[in-house]
Amino acid sequence: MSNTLTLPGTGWAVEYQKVGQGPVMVYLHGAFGLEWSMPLVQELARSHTVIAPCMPGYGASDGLDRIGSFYDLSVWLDEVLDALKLDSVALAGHDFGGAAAAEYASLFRRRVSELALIAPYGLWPQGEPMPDIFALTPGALTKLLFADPTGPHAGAFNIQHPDKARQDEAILSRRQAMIAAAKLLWPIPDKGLRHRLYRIQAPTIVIGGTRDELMGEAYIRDFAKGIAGARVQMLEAGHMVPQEATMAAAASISKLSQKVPA
Amino acid sequence: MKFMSFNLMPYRFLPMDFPQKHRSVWVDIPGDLYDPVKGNQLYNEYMDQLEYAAQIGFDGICVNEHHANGYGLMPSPNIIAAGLARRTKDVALVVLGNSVALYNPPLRVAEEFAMLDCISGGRLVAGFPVGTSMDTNYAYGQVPTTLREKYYEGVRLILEAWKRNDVFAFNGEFTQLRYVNCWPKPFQKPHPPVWIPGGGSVETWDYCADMGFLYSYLSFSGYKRAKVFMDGFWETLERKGLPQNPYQAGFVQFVAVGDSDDECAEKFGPHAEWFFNKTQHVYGGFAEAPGYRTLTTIKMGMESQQKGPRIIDTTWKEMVDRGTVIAGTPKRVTEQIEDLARTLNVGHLGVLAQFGDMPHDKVMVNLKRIATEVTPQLKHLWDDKWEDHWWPKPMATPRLPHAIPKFVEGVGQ
Repeated sequence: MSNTLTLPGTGWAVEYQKVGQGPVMVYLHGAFGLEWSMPLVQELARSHTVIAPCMPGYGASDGLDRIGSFYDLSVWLDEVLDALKLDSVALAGHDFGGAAAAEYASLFRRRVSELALIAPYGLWPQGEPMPDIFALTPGALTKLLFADPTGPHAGAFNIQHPDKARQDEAILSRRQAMIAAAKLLWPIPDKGLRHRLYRIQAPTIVIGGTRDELMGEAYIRDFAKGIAGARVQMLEAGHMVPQEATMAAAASISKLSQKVPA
Repeated sequence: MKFMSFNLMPYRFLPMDFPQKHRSVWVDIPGDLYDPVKGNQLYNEYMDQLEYAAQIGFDGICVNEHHANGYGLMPSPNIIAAGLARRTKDVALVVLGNSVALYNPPLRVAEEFAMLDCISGGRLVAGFPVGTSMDTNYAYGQVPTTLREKYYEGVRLILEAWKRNDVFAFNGEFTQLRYVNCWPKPFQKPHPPVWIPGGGSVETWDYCADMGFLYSYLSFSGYKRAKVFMDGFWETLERKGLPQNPYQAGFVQFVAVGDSDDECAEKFGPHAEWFFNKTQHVYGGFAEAPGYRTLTTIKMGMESQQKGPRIIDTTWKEMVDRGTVIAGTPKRVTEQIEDLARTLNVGHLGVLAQFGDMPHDKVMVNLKRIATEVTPQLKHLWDDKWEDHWWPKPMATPRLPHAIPKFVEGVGQ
């Protein structure tokens, strides 16, 4: 269910979802907002208490004005964990949230017990540049993000309401999300994470979609290479893994917490 | 009423099938379409046109800034303005302008404008545009959400650097300078007139009203479509209890003069169609970076169902009917410009006499006819009531460029 907390130091509101039971996992959504990760959040909730905050500028969470870097965002997340009285958590994130999770895990490394990065931003591939999600028409964006651009997930993403008021509302909500993401990912989503990845101590899995046109397998493997002991899992999906490979992604992430016998 | 000759400097050699083969004239226009030999020709033709306009009676000549753009060859308007400063003597140099947030530090703008004001003997108009999203966010990588804050901060720095003679520290959010010392200083005091070119955002109207800057609505869609945007500015001034002096506003307009409507259609139609149908062809993905406009402004646009300013796929007849182009006999053009001036309440008009792929000789004739058969009838339009506080106040007796001597005394052959 949707909750709101207020950060004591700044007074900023944080909207978050809290679902499920079991060990706590904090989940950070992608550039387009939490709604597109909810299938995965629900699935993870079968084995975890999942806390999924809307990052600053998304939903009812404010503070974007003062968030100008992943460092600022990490400090924000640290305060969110304090406010929720969570000491150490499993952390997962998709896309923009993946970059945020990796940044946090490299900075505040003692607070992250496990880390799942799903098609994460944060690096810049060698060779061919990554497509630019901020320079596409809506139709082209949908086509880029989904393995099946004609399926129901893509259909829901590619806003088409016959009612103008609802259509305008959906366009504004997408714009709000893109504004928040662009603030940190513009113009190239590489903000030096490569130089900090080695600091990550948590057992880590990096998940990619085999049909992701934004981040190919080489990129996912390159990401994992920077983190000692990180595993790679490629799933049958486009970039929107939380929607297109919900079950498989949840299964891979849940495995992280299963202790491997000595 | 003041008239400026405005030249966009289009690259007029784009292939005929450009819109079919390429998705955008801006941001990702292919580099191999640019021929530097043609560049040499075009820069010199366009600068000749501006210098000629200065000679035949235009009050000002006007340049602007675009990046990675096939219809605007001036990434650095200051370079062009410097050239023009030396070959003209009594026109205003309207640099419209420098996109402040793109200069690092923005103090560079203060310095270069001060240089231009000194070289020209105090003829500079200092334009400070935010810049389009294509220029600033896509071509120049600026973060869209903070662009405006960075811009406002930059303008603050520039004005302070011009006005103050002490060395001061500037601790901004985007620029930190321990020692601000703009050397040289502009001749015009406290600083050259400031013009803000804008595309019709509420924030810009308020900014111009509060700062006493000139608001120049820049669009190529013509005066009929511009009314709603100019009205927004005048209403802002009225709300704040400020006078609605037409000289606090500027506008740009395509103008073509001929002996008959048919002659104009034949002579200018293809070039205007070339401009709109070829060079206004911008990929939708580059139209507006997220954060370039605030959610509030986007919402207002949705509610008022504002039409976008960009016109594409149009015909000469449509352009003339809609006022995108003012064309016809000198008498008709004069009437329409007077109508424009009174409808929009503007005291400065940037006249675009070159459009699209119009060749040099044709531009020169168009300029000549505008300056001799049209603008002289309109110059006194606002004299009865208003004073222009936004026009340069040059030196009385500036040192002008001298002819280069054949021999300099005391130096060997």
